[in-house]
Amino acid sequence: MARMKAGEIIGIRGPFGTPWPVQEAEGNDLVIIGGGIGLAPLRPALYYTLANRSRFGKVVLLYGTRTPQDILYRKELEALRARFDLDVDVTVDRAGSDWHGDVGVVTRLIPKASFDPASTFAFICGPEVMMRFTAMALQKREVPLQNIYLTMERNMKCAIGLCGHCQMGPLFVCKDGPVFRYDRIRDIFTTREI
Amino acid sequence: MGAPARKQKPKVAVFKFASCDGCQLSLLDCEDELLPLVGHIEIANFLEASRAVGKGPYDITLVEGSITTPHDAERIHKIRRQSKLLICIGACATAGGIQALRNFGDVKQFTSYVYASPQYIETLKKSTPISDHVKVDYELRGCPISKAQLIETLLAFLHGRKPVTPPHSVCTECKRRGLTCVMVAHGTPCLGPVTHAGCNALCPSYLRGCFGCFGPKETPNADALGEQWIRMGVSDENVLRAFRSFNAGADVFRKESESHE
Amino acid sequence: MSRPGMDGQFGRVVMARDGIDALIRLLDRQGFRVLGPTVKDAAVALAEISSTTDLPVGWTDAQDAASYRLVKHERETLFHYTVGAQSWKQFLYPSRTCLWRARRAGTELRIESGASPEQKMALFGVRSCDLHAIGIHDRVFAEGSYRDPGYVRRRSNMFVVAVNCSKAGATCFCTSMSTGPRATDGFDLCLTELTSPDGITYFVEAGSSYGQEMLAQLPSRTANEPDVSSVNVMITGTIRQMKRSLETAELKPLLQKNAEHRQWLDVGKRCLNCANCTMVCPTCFCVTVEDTTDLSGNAERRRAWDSCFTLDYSYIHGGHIRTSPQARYRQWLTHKLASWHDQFGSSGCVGCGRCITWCPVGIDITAEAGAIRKSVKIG
Ligand code: SF4
Ligand code: SF4
Ligand code: SF4
Ligand code: SF4
Ligand code: FES
Repeated sequence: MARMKAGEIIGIRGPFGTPWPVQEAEGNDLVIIGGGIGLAPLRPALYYTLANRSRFGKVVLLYGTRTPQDILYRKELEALRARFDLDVDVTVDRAGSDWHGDVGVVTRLIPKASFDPASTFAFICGPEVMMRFTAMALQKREVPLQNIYLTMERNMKCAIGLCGHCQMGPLFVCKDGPVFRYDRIRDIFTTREI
Repeated sequence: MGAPARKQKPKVAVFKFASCDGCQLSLLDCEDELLPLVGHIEIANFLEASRAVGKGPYDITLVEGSITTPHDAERIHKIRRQSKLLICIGACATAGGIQALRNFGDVKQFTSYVYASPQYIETLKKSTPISDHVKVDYELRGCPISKAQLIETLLAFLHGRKPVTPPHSVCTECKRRGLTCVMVAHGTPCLGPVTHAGCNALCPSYLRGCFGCFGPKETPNADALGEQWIRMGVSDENVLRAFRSFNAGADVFRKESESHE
Repeated sequence: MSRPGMDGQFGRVVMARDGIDALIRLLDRQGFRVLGPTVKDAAVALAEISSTTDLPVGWTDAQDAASYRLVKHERETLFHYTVGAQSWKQFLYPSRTCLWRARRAGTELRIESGASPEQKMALFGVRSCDLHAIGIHDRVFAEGSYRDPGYVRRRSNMFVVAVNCSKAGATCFCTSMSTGPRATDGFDLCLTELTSPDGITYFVEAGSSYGQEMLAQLPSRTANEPDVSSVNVMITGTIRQMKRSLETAELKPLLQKNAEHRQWLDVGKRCLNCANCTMVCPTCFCVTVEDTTDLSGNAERRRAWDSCFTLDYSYIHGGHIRTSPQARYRQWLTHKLASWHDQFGSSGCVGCGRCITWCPVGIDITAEAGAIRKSVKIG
């Protein structure tokens, strides 16, 4: 796709499945946590929040990726960092001496992030292990489990519940998800190879 | 989606190592499909079809045969350096072929039976797949390969997409065709459950058990199949023989044959 | 076309074999492609039929885990066997389909449907378990939020002739799943083959008004009470014959709570992950989608039966979700017997026994589920 030129044709089906519950989150603090490429699916939620900034309390964006070179939307993140109505914190797994930011997994940013746990919504997207530990860290800060949302990835061949590939226990990630409320999938989510 | 407009046609070369030419012949056998294909590629080296040898580098190199001599072990490195994309075709190139049977015995002894002056026969102890020597970009299984898969693979690389050559069992193809399972309904031992798809269950369609031409599938459980054959009354010797044929050198098949020695 | 038939609402008749032949001819005349059991390569296989001689006349089957044999029966029966490896899904949801083609025409891309014109089908000789399996596929393909147009089309033009089972196979367990052996629902006509010393007759009941209309055109006599009781006696005999069983009470929570049970590891060692069980299962519906292109850049999107036993089934960027064989076996068994309830409101298993007979190593879904139940009861 990256090699396509203007004027070429691509086919799109959709949209399918569940979105980030941005409207339910209004009136609360919002923590958006991305791991690696997982920042991409969170971006529309962030745009919505910023476009309706007054409807939210504190808004925090936590982003973890492998190395400084892997940072997605780098310029955009820098611009966002300059805003006063948004906390942006970025960490990398490993970096050279020219990196002045945090080093370590994204979960380490959670204890020091500033939000009011009792009235916070959290949106998470990243690799499954990252999401598992992130949800645990949020739980530790006593963010209500029903306010934590994450988005799952599975093989998808149809997106409409007919090919079977995206099953995760009883759920079809394509139509029941991909965005799930954590308390509803916690047991499945923690089963290996499900 | 369409074939990208190119000034130059991609150069395709075919190289042969220790093998019977069967796979190269499959390429020639693709009459209907090959003719239009020739319009889209430049065949730079294909001794089976013509004597002209075009110079490298090649966009796509098809390699047939296994490595059995020190000279070949060097030659494959040269070919690799000349090739953007190296595709191995057939059981010889992907698993060492039938000639990998030597891996189980003493080569010197073999050559002394076969040749009058065995000292002139320069050969390695083992017949090994290409991937033991150089990086391989794609493998097409089979003894011989399936021409449908060959065309599919060439088309896919010409269009810059992933070829559709699924690594699941022959049983899947067998059942999609609605064939009667020879193992369950006739008691005929069949290697289908551990063999890589691609032949469209050719042997079961002729009421024969699968011979395993396409080698081990993804995550094959040869152990459990071997045990079932024994329960069906197949002798250890015959289990060994079945696993020790065209893909005798493939790890899982080799181990299974050894466990019935 | 099949509507649930209330007992006694439609007619019930008795006919001889020539009546059955007349029925096949009538279906043919009405434009149906009549599909039914035949003998192919020493097994019962589904194919086009044009008379009763195409059926497995005088054959019966002996099935067990990993074993299937056709054997001669002493009578000229038409239906004295149970299901073969194939199920009706091969007609209603074919193993390979072209979804669409895209053709280049200059700078334009033309998308054409892959569907080709199809003749309406009459499914002849559908067993009760398979009727339930079709009912399950209706819920998957025709009654959810998204539908499969091909399935819906084929299904709505279909005529169903059911057959009550005169014997139970050794791998059958429909009584456990409440799906047989008597066909109660979802047919246009239902046949029961009655064998007595005087001969073989067919008790035929209609289950829809269309079935009723057809029935009226066949040579027959009205059924009487003794006929009805012969049917009941035969079915009771079949139920008594059923040796396999699966305890379904609280099975769903039991399996869902035991996702890490050691039995999965045990069966993972025996399982070939060959996918035969899912291919023969009449309710398995998983498919893969493949795109191909030809030389001129025309593209085709194809669909083919797939299985949760393949590694690629669970491939996502960076690896596969279910790499171990036990995880794949667990997906199959728990989908059939547990999560199907969450997804479609019933079990995904109709007790047809195909997956047991046609598993090359004889892995038995009832035994695996039973082993988990047993260990949990004790421990
Ligand atoms: S005949 Fe062989 S390939 Fe076909 S299903 Fe049986 S075991 Fe598998
Ligand atoms: S799981 Fe087995 S017994 Fe149940 S419906 Fe499927 S094939 Fe038949
Ligand atoms: S058991 Fe496997 S193949 Fe069958 S429907 Fe479920 S996920 Fe699909
Ligand atoms: S249970 Fe049997 S049929 Fe199913 S994948 Fe395993 S070995 Fe194959
Ligand atoms: S992607 Fe096909 S069922 Fe979800």
